[in-house]
Amino acid sequence: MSEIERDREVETAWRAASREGPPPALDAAIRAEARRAVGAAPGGKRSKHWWYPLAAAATVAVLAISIVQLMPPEQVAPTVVADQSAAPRQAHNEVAHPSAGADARLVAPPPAAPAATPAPPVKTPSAPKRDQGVAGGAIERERAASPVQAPEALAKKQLAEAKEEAPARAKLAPPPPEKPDAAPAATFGGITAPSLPRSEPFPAKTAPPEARRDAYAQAPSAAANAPAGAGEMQAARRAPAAPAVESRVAATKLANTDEAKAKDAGARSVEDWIKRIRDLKNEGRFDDSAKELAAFRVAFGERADALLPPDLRQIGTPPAPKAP
Amino acid sequence: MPAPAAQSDEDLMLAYAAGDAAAFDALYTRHKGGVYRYLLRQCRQSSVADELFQDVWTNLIRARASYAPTAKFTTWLYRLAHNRLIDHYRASGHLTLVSMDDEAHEDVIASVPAARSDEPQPRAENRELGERLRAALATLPPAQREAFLLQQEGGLSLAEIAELTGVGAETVKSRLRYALGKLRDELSGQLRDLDDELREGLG
Repeated sequence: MSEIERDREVETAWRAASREGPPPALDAAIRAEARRAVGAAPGGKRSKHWWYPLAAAATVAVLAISIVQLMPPEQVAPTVVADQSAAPRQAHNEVAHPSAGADARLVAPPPAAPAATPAPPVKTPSAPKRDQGVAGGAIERERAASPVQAPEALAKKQLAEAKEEAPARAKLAPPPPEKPDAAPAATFGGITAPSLPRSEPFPAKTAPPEARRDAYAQAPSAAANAPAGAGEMQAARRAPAAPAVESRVAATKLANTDEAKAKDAGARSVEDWIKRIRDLKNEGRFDDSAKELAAFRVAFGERADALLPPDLRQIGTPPAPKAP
Repeated sequence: MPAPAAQSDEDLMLAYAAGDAAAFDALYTRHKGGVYRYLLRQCRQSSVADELFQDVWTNLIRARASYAPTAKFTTWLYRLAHNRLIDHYRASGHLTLVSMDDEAHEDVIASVPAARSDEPQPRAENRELGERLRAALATLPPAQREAFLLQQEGGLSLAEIAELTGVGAETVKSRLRYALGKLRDELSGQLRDLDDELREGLG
């Protein structure tokens, strides 16, 4: 037997004889320790990075809040502006023609009439636009302290005067019987708006520009009259607070226009006015003479009849209204 | 991912370092017997062997993060066991007697007989051949015994044993030759004794 073969024999005998191993308890202890160590390591890794998602979420939240805070308010305005653009139009329609759509057809001003076109809503430059839609009361207070206050007071005064003159003008201006669709006067909650604005005895189409301008000039007074009754109430119900403010501003401007016209009328003497009316009548321009007479009545109110000579008092007296 | 049984020791160790507990189970099942017997044959006390064995694997678990497969896993594992054994020798005061690197005193060490009382008790199959082989191994000098155990239990090559023990490959080869010769003689003596017994019984 060679040495190598004997060495192999020794190795085989050794492997057959040497089969000891660690006790099972030691096995279990070591395996448990290994698992514990491994279980702690991945957990440790997880605990090391558990805050990553939370940090990302917090960062996103902070950025979102910052962006919202830094976002200028003008970015919200366009939708409100769209509402505003519609609201003043509605307010203008209700102020200029508060009674009904028929009034608008009758006394609709030509687009070029400067007195009839209400000025764009007066806006305080510093006031955010969205505030007008939301906090109309605040704007009202703001404007009460602004220079617009004086025209508003004048407008109120003019409204009061117009109320007083309304019955007389109702007598003066006959309703247009040839227009059946113009008959229904605006009735708001049982209150009938005076039909004086529709008292223009001449169709708007055929009336001369001056007459149309004068006729439209009367509309604001009626408009100022109507809100005292139902028109303003209706406008207040339908329009939000900010458009109501806008309508008041527009009414103030129109009232200022009337006032200016009245001042112009007052500047003319009674004799000149009567002479002008009589000249027009003699020239056959009955329309113009009637318009001048109406303007005279507006200018002098209740004293107009007393000032007019008897031959001119009957001009323009509206005929007895026909039954609808 | 291949099954743990098909993976190499290095892959299993890396997997365990990455948190795979099953990889450790596979690794432990492969090497627990060899490491345990290596320690048991060296210290010759099962209680001490148990303690050293647990320490070796605990050190492996703790060092898992720093493991790099630059060498064979078994080399690393038996290095841990070797170092732990050296610590044990130092602590017990046997270090001078079991110095494995002192080639000059090899004959002196080889002449010191192993204490018969320290011989480990067989646990399972108490075969006579196995007892005599273990007894013969116990009589070997520690350096020769370690070289033999690293080769037989750990499956290390001469170069790996030389690297682990810190000696030359030729020295390891010489130690192995001495160890195998003595065991062979012991095995031959047993065979002779068996032959004598058989002859007496037959005659």
